[in-house]
Amino acid sequence: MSAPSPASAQGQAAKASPIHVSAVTKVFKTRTGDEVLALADTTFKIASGEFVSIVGPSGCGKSTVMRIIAGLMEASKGAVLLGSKVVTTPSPEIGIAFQKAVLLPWLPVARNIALPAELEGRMAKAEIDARVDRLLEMVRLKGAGGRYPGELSGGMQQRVSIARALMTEPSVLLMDEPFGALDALTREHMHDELLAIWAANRPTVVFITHDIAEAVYLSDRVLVMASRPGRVIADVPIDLPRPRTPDIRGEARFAKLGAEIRALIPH
Amino acid sequence: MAMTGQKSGRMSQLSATLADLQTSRLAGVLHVVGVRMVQLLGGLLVWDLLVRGFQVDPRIVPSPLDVLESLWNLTISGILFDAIRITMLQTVIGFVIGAGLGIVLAVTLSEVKILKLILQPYIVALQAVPKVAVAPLFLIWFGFGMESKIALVVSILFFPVLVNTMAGLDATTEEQLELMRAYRATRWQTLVRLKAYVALPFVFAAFEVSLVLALTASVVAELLGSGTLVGLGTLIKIFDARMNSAGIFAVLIVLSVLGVALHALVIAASHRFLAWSRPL
Repeated sequence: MSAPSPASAQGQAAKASPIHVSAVTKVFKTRTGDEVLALADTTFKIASGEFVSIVGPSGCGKSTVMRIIAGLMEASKGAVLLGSKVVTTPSPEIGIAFQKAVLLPWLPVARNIALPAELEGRMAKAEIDARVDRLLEMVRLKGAGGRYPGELSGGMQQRVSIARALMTEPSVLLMDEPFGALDALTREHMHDELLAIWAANRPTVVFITHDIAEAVYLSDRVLVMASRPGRVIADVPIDLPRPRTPDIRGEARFAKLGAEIRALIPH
Repeated sequence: MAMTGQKSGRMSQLSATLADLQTSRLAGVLHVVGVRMVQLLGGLLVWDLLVRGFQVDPRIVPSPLDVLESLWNLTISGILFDAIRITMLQTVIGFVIGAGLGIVLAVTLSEVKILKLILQPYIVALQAVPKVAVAPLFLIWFGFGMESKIALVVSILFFPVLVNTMAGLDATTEEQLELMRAYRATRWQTLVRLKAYVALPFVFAAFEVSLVLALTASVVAELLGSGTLVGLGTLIKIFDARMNSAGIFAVLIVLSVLGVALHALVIAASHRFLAWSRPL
């Protein structure tokens, strides 16, 4: 990893927008016409450059929250503020890694990673190539840029999609269980890589997971959600020192925070 | 480093296997060609024996030698190649126009939903009309030249291509569309960078069926109303009028070869353009 100059790191930190989810309610209509309350009056704030994880049982609306923040879905009531702007459509500030890799099978890996930049059309070709090379190295896929998604394992595909989310150096990073499909070793490697990127650029990160240890290891704060209706029921600050290194996984404080969060999650 | 060494070792192993594969592929091709030759000669022999054994009237089923002779005469007189040129020209021009119109209309309808709603009933109704039944109208509209034949080819090709392309353009997954939205792709970008590729296998499936169908249409058009130009269909009509079954059989053999060649062409093109859609 090339260390960025302090000046550019500060520049990024100043740009990263805080997120304010304000009294957001989301009602889904089922096919039979019934209404399902996916999200009830949910409010939380994420500071500029903060790393926040959202954990909760499946069906608690954590993906819904993310999609509303991303501007991919409209809130039924309430609003999301990105910086001072109300989110209505996807913003160029945001990078998203989805639960599934969703790679385009007709593009080689390098072009899949470059996709957001190519769609935006602002980056020069040479700059795109250089950045793709760095991202490939970061997600441990150096030399795989010319291969096609169909030739990759599920874990490799997921790493490509994470590299794609980082392509435009977004100041806000939304990640929906991005490491769920990875094996344990790769996942721990990706944790450290993600923290290194975060430390360098200080984007605001919303990280959705159902892995409590992952949430504790990565985050400044962990929001715990409950289902029916989906809502935030706890806000746990993670007071472990940074930079975090793998050995803190063995520390008592780490285990205690994990247990605390686990106890909060309803069954 | 150790991993790179292992990888390059595997690469050389792989290229060795590929070389093996190429020699064995050549042997395989020769084997297949050999088997096909035996099948061909065997078939001709059985045909000949049956015709001779039962003393079949050559106006009903000619002997293979008569057919070969007819084929030879057609070839050296140059009539055959002119006929092939005319029929293939009708087929290819009709294919290009029909497929082109089908694709353009499919994209238009899938992008402008209101147009699709308005035109859908007309399309369904027109699609249901047997196109061959319209051929006499094409003669009135476009005359006895190539144009009326091309029109029939276009009308037969157009609908399968239209319908398949429309289905293909709609075959994107919700996740793919969300990806494009999340990265603020314009409508045009979504069309050319996502939908076009998703539709491609559907389009090729339509081509696979319809290119051979186009050849049929081209011949049928000539049978229904030949005119100034002598294509393969017209040739059949001429031989038919003279009760020259050997001549008709000769043309049928040529048509079979052309059909197989067109089909092989589409398959080769789809292998070239759809390599990504086949898992290794």
